[in-house]
Amino acid sequence: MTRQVFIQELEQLHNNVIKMGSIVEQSMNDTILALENIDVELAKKIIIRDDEIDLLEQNIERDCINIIAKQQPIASDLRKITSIMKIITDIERMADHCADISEYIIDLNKKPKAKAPENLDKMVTAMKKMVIDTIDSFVTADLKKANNVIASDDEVDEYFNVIRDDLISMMQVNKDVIPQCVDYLMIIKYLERMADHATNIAEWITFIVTGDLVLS
Amino acid sequence: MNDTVSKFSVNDLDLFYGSFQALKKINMEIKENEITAFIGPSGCGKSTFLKTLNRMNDLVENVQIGGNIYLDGVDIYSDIDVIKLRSRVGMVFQQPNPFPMSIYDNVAYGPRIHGIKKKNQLDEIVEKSLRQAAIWDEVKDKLKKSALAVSGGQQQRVCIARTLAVEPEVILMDEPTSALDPISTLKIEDLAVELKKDYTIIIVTHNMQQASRISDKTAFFLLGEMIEYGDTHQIFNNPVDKKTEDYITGRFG
Amino acid sequence: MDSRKMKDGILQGLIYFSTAFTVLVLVVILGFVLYKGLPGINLNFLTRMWDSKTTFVKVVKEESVDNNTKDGYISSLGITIDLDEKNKVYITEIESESPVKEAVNLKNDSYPIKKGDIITKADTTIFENITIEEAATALENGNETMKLKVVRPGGGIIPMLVSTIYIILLSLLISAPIGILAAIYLNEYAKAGRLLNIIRFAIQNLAGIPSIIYGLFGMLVFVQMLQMQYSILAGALTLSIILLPTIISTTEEALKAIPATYRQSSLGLGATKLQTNYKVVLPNALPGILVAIILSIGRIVGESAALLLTAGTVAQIPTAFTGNEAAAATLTTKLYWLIKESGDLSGASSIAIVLLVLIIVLNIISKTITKHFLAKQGNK
Repeated sequence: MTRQVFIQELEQLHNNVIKMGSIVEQSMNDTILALENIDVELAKKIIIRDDEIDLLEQNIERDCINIIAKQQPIASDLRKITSIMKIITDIERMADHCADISEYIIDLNKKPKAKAPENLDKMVTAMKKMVIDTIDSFVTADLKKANNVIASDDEVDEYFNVIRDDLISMMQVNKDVIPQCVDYLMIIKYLERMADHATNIAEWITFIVTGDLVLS
Repeated sequence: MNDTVSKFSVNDLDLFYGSFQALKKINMEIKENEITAFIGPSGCGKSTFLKTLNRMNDLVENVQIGGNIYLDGVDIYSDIDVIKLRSRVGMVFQQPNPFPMSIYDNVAYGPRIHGIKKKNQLDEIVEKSLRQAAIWDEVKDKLKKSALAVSGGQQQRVCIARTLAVEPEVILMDEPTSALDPISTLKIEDLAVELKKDYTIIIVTHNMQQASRISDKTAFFLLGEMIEYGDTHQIFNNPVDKKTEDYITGRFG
Repeated sequence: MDSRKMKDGILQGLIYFSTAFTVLVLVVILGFVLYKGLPGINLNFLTRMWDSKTTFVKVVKEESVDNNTKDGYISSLGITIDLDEKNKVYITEIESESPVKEAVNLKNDSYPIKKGDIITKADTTIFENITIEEAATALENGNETMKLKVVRPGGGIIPMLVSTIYIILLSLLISAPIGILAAIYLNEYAKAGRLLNIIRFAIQNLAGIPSIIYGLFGMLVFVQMLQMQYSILAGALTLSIILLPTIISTTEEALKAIPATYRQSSLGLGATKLQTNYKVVLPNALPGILVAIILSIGRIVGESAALLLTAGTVAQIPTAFTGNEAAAATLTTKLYWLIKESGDLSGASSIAIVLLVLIIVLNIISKTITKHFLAKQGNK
């Protein structure tokens, strides 16, 4: 096989993206835990971890540019590298949202305890599955899983609408919980955004595999 | 794919050197005023195929050809005189190979053999051809000097001018830049893109970047077969065949 | 000193010795030829005919201006005479309007008398053991239309020089076109295969046959069968056959050296095969062809055996292609003849020097032509 150096560099790049993905997966799991228990310590850890992910994103970005300059990739190689440059932005945004949610967890902890909205756990589960499937489909270039992710986005959007309506009625019933409910509203917005980023990543994976650009 | 006219139509082309089959059932439509690039590893038949298009393979002994090639609908192996065909389908070779005579005589060679004798008419053709080949300004003061005295890149452009002087419709280029430095290569590439307004250009190249830079269509050949043929951006972004993909991404052998 | 160094030294010594030996031999031969031949070379040797020639001429005398006969001046003939070392009367000077330039022989053909001609008889006076005064008086007082017996002295090589050049030109005129065209056929048109190999093999072998055999063939076929007699044409035809293999194979080498892309380019521009050969292949092969011609000239000049049997040994300037008038000795055949018949070593050496100079001059001319062509093509 020719181009051993190039192939090694591509593998390295692939592994770095997986590494970045698993760190974000960890952050997401921690965020879910912290959200269940309103765990301030864990939330702080997540915020700190965000810097690590930013650094990793920069490294991968630089590697991509170097490979393009030195190896002039084309066809599937070019698709993969350009897609990775887009994917890491989405992963980084997901990590940002974990940190954003963590800020609200810390905020919630300062306020009187309020009941978490119904269905929040279901939304979290759906979103979590999307993110894990996305990372899996990247690792194995699994087109079917990527398509499932794209389809699941509607489900998460639906949960967002339902929970938002719930929160509105809660606020109408009890004015004391308005501050907490607004925090939860922001949190579900971020969860919904994370699902969107997962969808984007799934679309780029589709592009890597098929060469077809899915416009959403 | 039908918005421009087909210059060449190739139907089930087979080519044998003795008992060795060098081309296997090639089918292809080559469009007018486009650059079509042939890529593939050495010995894949791309140069052989190129040479069938102006019947340069006739010079090789023991060549047998099956199938048909049509130029503007006329079968070039049965219904057209080979001399006439070659003045319609010109060729530029791998090594810059001007004749050992002056630049002027090189360019005037074609018109002269086709019977043009008048000095002012020849002058006109020589200047026009050299201008088209984007080398007039560099050689206008040394037209009487030997063509071998200029640089390799300039020699190749003189050779292109020599081909243009016959006023062909199609220009076949057989790895025209493989012996040139990068800057000369880019000049020839620019020239090819410029020329496609008036000519149909078919180029064989080992330089994949070159094919992707200048061609409209790309055909990939392997072991005498045409594996894939399509728009260049499709071939280089998303080839259909795994063999094409492996070749253009360098994962070969 | 180890044995490897010693071996090296011995081998190197051997190489030096061989070179020195070759150069020495060359110098000795040249020196000998020059030593023997140089004294014999003078203007007469280079400009006179080989044999002396006796002719009776008639001269119409002019009005005598004065009767003063001192210094051998004869005003009625406009000539000055003198005695040579053998006491023969010869002409030292001829005036520009002298009547002897209008002299005719007995057939009334013009036979102008030249400087150096010897007068052996005037009318009835035989010029033998005679003083200048007596001779001058006899000439001055002779008949109005005077009859002179004139001997034009020989000893020169002009006939051989001219014959040599004639034979060179004639042989090349025959063999070069045939040889070059044959080479073009073999290299450009003939299909590779057994037949071509046989032809090539035959040509190579023809080059190795001793020239005397060609001479024999030429004598049988041209001289006798075709009744050309000893003549320059028979000689040139025989030489042409000798030259053909060299010209063909040298030209073929030149043709093979031409890059195939030149032919392809030309054909690719829509040229026919003939146009390609004529306009691209042949001009490029020209330096090689000229080499073939230089080699041929050398061969012609050096040839003796074949010419002895076909062109004869008569020292005359040929005035026809066949027949008695066409018999001709070249410098080389004359050289051979001279030694064999009269053992005249110094005369032979003089001819040898002329041959050497001729070869050098011809080579320089060919080289100049080649250079000129190369410069024109631009690959100096």
